[in-house]
Amino acid sequence: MKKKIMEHTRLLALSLLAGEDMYGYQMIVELARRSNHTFEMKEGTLYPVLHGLEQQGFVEAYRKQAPTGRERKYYHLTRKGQGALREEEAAWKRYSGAVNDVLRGGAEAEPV
Amino acid sequence: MTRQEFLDQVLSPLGRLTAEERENVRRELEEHVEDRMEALLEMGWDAGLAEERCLEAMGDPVEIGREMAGQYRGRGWLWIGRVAAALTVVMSIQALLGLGMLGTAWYSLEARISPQLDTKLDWVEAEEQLDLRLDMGNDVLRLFRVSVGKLDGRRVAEIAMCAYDRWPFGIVAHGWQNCIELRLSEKEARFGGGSGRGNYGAEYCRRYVSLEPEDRSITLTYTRFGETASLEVPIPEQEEAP
Repeated sequence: MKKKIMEHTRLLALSLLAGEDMYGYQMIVELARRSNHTFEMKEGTLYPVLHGLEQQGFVEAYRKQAPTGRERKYYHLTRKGQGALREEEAAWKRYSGAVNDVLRGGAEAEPV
Repeated sequence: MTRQEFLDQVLSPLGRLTAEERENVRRELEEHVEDRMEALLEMGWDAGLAEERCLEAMGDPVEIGREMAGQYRGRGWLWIGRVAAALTVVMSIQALLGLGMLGTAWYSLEARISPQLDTKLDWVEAEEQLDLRLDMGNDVLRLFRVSVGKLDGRRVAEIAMCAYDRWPFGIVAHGWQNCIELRLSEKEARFGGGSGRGNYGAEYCRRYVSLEPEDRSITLTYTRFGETASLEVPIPEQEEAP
């Protein structure tokens, strides 16, 4: 289960960075906002995921001054990361589509 | 738990990372807590409570540290790879040195079994294979051939010699050639010069002496570090046709 959470976090992190370069705290805030607070994970667990993506070359990090005036570590999605995002997105859609199919089928199979 | 304790716990399993990488992790998490704290303080939270709430929101530091260490797992192999590459370079250099040592050993053996040095004379009138040896400190000087013939139009004797360490595979001291003097019946040799070949195992050299018809022998004197030793070398004569 923990592995699944990590994988989902990976996909969510890649997709957040597809829009713009962000730093960790900003990503957490943005994730909560976009998911209407459905994804309120333990915030510290985002960082191992980001560092893993960085090790794999899916994201690059650099330091820049944030709008708050403080310097923060920003992550940027690389071309390789864009490819990984497309693949993981397709895998997720296949998976969620299959779950939906099963749920729909289950509903139809219910005795009338 | 204080912020410091939290960070220490996250960092404790990250020994595999470089100091710089650990510092980056620490700084990044600290900045996250700082941002979260600021948001809570703006909402009017008490500082102590806000920090407590922030650290709670971060999650279990032990788990974060373990997950973080997992992202750098390939590092062990990376270092092993680097060490292996360095070892390969060192061993290659050693192997090349080893080849050089084989050459040394070969020369050292060859000089004591069957010394090889071709003659540079234009024409050989008489030749004699000899085996005269002289101790030179830890080395042995071996005079193995005397030839009489023509070189650049002059009648000369060519003395072929080599030096090697007393012990097989040992290294011969360089420069012995300069300590050798050739004399013809109390007269200094009238024609010096020489050439040779060699390595650490053995050194060969040829020396020339201009000959007069009456000369019968050459005196070779070796002088070094106050020690003197000499050899009497007979000059070969052309065999009379029967």
